[in-house]
Amino acid sequence: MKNSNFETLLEDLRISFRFAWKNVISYVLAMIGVLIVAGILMVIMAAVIIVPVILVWGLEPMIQFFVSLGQNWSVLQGAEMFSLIVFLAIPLFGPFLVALGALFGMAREIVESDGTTAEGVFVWYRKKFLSLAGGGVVLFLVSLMPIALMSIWAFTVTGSWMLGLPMAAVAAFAVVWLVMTTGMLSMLFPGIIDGLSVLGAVKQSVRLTRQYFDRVFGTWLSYIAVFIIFSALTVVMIPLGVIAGLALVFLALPAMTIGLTRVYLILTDNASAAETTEDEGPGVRIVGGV
Amino acid sequence: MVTDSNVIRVLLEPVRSDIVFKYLVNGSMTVKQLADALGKNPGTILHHIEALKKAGLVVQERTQLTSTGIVQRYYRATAREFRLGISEMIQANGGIARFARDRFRSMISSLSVYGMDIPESEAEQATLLLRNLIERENAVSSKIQVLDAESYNRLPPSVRGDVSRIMRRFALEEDPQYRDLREKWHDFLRSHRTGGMKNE
Repeated sequence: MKNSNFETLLEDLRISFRFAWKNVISYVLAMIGVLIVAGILMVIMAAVIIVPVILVWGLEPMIQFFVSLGQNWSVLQGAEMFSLIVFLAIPLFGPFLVALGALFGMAREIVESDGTTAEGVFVWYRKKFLSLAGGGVVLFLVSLMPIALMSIWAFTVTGSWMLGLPMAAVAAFAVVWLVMTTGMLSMLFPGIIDGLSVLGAVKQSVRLTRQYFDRVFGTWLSYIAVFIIFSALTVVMIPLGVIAGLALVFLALPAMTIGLTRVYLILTDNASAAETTEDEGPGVRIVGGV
Repeated sequence: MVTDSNVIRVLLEPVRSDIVFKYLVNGSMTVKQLADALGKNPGTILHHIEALKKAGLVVQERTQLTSTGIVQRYYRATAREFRLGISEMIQANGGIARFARDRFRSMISSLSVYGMDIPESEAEQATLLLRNLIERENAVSSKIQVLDAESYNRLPPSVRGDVSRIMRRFALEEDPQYRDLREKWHDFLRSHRTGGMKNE
């Protein structure tokens, strides 16, 4: 049950897409709703950052700051650019990462009890906001930040954007890094939904990946393949590509959350616990209480 | 015995208390089964289970893969019986202490339905006597050791309940302090008996 082969992977895909299709209306409503909430939160976060700055320094210096930032973007040093990206990207995209994490909450409901509701996503969003945001930050820092830093470093060293073979080498490294790290952290959100802390979920994800490498990476790669196929269809099959695009967002993405959650639940089974014998008779108690 | 006020607070929530006391102390159940039994949304039950797991009251027992692809997790209570620490409840902050005091007052006044007429002026004394008795009962009960836990866990719930009660009675009868407290409480009840309660 815990190890992988081609049939297991196909079965995982089949089951996850079946559940995603069965709950497609809940997912569509939940995703629209949660995106609206995430958008509102993003605006609020931007306002929380920008409004005090405007109140303290005024609007004019603020405009000047962004204009000069645009002008000097190309001469920023790696550390400055790193700080700026982290400072701006994490608070602004945090709500969307939480929204993605909340979909894993819906997936958990489906995988464990065969049903979910659109409003369920908001409960996960609210209850797990900080943990899911923390998970999103970890994912961002581990998977994307090194690639961004490497590109910045390469740009700083060479003085221009790379082309040709060096560019291909960096791109290849970036793809391998992205696939490996996201695969290694693919059990992160299911772990957080399972009640683990961010650090606990990271450890759990890495442990499961090491222990069941074939199952975790097999599942992860199969969903990447699905995403590539759907993305290709979206681009190639214009105008029918719109349908493929919608299926990518509202079917393949939920299927991925369901598939990964299902694998997480299977791999974290502690089957060693002793089973209880059920009552053979009507379960009547003879001795009165004290 | 549950003495941590945070854990007591978790158990005082009605749905959580139903999950633990009505169902999971008797055997393991899935989220779906609990949701059906309680008439709640599985998502809601999942959040309650998580809170109970965090409080150490519930554990995941096993996982079962169904033919439809569902991965059912079975949860059970970490003990076959939970007793709430009375002293800890009364000393706790706010709602828990109020709940405990109100419950004792309610129990004392409700004894009137059996012909035990306890005046308001003696309610405090009655509460103290009953509280001491229950605390001792809890203390003695929590010391009863199951020597073969594996076999005990394999017993059918009804048999397990019966043998637990037999052993609890025995342990209480063996404890002189409990017997003394029980005698004081019974003397108090006898002195306030107005109805015709008789042992046949």
